[in-house]
Amino acid sequence: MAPQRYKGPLGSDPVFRSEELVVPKGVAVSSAIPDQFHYDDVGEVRPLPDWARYFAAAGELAARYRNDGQRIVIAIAVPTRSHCAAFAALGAVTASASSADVFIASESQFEHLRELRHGAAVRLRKGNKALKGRFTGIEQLANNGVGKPYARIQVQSRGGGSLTHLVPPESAGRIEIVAGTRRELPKQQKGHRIRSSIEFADEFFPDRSLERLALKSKVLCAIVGRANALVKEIEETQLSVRSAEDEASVHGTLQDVVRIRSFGSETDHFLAEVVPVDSSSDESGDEVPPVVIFDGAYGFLKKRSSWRQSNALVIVDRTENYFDSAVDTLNQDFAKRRIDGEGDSKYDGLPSAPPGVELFAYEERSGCSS
Amino acid sequence: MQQLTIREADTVYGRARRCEIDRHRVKHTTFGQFCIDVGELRKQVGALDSPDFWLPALRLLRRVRFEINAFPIPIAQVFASHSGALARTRQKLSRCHLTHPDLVTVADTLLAQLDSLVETADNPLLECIAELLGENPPPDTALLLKESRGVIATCKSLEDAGYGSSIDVIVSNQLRQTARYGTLIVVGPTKWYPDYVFTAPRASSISLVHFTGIRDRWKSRPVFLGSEVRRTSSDSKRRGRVPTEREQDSGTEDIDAVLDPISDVLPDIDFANAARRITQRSAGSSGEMVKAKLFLLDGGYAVLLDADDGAFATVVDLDQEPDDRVHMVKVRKIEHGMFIVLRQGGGGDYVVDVADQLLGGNAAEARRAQQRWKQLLSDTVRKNGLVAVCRDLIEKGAVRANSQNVRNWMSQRNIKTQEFEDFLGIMRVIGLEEEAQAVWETMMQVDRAHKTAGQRIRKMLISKIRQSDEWELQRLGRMDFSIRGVSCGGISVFRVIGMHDELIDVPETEVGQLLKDEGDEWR
Repeated sequence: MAPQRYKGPLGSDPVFRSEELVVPKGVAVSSAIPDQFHYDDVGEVRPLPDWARYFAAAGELAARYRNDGQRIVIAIAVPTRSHCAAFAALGAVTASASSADVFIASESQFEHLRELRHGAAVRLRKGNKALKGRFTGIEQLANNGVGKPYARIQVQSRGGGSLTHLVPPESAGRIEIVAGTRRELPKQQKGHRIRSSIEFADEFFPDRSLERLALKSKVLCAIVGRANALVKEIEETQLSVRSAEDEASVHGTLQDVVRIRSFGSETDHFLAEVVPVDSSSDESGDEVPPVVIFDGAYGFLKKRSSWRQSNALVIVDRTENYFDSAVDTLNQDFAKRRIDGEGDSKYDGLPSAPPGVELFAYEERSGCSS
Repeated sequence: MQQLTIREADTVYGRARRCEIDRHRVKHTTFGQFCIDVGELRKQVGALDSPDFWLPALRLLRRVRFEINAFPIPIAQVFASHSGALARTRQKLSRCHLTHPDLVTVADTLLAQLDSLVETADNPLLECIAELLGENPPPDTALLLKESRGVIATCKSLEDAGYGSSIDVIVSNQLRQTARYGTLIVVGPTKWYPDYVFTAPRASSISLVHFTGIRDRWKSRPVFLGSEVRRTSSDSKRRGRVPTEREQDSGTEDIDAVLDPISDVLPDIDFANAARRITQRSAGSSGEMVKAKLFLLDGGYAVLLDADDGAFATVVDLDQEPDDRVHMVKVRKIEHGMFIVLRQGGGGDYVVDVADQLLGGNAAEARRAQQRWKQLLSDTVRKNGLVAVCRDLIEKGAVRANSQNVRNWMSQRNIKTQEFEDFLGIMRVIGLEEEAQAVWETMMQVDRAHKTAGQRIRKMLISKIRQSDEWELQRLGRMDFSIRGVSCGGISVFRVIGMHDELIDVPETEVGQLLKDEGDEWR
């Protein structure tokens, strides 16, 4: 089976290792959601409800499904769609990120820099700030009589003094290569505050600490929904994880993990994208995210012809105006397009459905139009 | 749709897990028999060669039957609110032996029942509800009604019964929002309500209250063909709930549940008949004819809107983000639950009022100029025929002339052509070539004023709706706004509750007119 390839900002980097991700029948879900996960309700800390974990597991199910030339469509009817897409995105991003090469070890990153053209745009993480930068080459410097290579990252324009940081291989994880054209550097810069809490994110990527690793921006999940509502759920809802090691709580938001591109600043890494329901563009640039989450019936009916290569998770709220239309469409698609057998189980590992929730999933050929 | 916090959403899931549904059947012998006999009269009238004589009486009887079933208000009060139509109906029934002797048995029975019901002080639904509520009903109790138009009368009825305003009287749309109640009393059978009232309950317990004569059963069913619930139906935890039925006796004699909640009790809307009546009424009108779509609005109103392929209307859609709630939508794409924006005085376009204000002193002259070239074009079409005028227009440089475009250009609702060359062609055909440039510039001014007016009204409406009580708008299905610059009392928004699938030809003057009470006449 040929590995799936990702058409992302850097062009042709393979993200999915097929041997890890192909799940022919049934997808076991492990859920990377920490046990001691809480949310803040007006100052009161409460354990994360089971239904939130269920949606994270459903997102993970969508992210883990890989089968050449096929995709999975998962539809969930819910009593309220509030927070469903947000937690599904958490599951999708954590599942995809653990398999995709969005984490880069410092040494590998340094080797990659050796091949980078001079003048390429980069970001340099410095504490909790991110600086716009330009890669100007590798320089050998004598260190106690031994030559050691350093990456030269210029962060000021010539007019500002051409301030350049020298970054050793073991710290190259602080450098992120930015897609796109060369950009002007400012005369002076204090750096943009990195809004994500690395400590919080690390709770979801236990083996890959962002403290030590570089993160390559990629759209691992697109959410078609209402941006205002998703901002509240993803960026403004306060969460915390009680660390198993020292019982101390680490605070953050889903944005620290999911990293929606349009919610962050220009210098923030991103792993997901929100596509507004009424946006004129159908897709998120040229990128084909592994998972697309339709947050609501209206968005599904309007944009379902897009991202036919991506696994789809459709969340429809029973109280929505377009609920019946969306269900009819999903049922018609199921009847016309499914290629999996009657008894094939695709729900392995999913916890029991929360009350009022109904889920179904089927496989179809990817890329077929409506 | 309002945004929920995690805790609020958790409460919704909790309600879905724990919600209990009880059924309380209300017996009222005379009314129960009346419901069946109205059905019998309908059946016998349907067998007549010419049933038209009985249709108004049947409409009245079916309407009161529905209202008594749907609203917990005194039976006599329902009849009193239709006193005129009721008197005519009683007269027909009492003279039945002269007009339709075959119907006399059922007519006499109905007359006797009416004599009893119009005098009774009974309010059987409220009596049952009062028993459920007890003396001190919990504060988080709501009463769910099928239609907004019963809300005010029901509130009054509850007040009279000593409940003050402690009980929310709502309609199902409000349950899509954050509302969560301890107890929800649903008046009428489950089939009258959207499934989400029961599948996504916003209350810990639901009590169904309806008369015994209505057949009703509710069972949660999977919505997806290949759903997990279907596949694991042996798992009782994943199967839908069935309401636990508990009867409440309020009468002495049992009435069989024979009435279908939809086809028998719910007044159907005879759109075809309504369209026929409008067409008959407007026959002979010399005005321009347009293809219109008929919408039934909350509160028994209706409206016709121009449904030309390019015709838009302003709607309020509470499902959208606050800034996007007021927007233009193709008339053919207007859906149930949207609110249509209409001028309170009815008729005409409220944008015109504001646009004229923006045009200031030039308004009258600009409108005269607009009317003049359109009238001359219409006269030419009337004289020479549409096909010949199209050909002539193309020859004179109006290259986009075709029958649809020429119809649009003649319409007073249209301001100008898209391109000057088409306008020049028209002016040549109607003999005003020398004035073409000046009139075109005037039309450009009018067009700009309309665009600015449209944006201004939209902005004002967004602001008004933000300031208004959305809860009330959902509950009553209608709201009035005063908007600066709009004469005739301002603007109203009405919820769409039905629409005719077919388009009908009506004079342009009928478009946008609020048709009061006609919605009920068609039931």
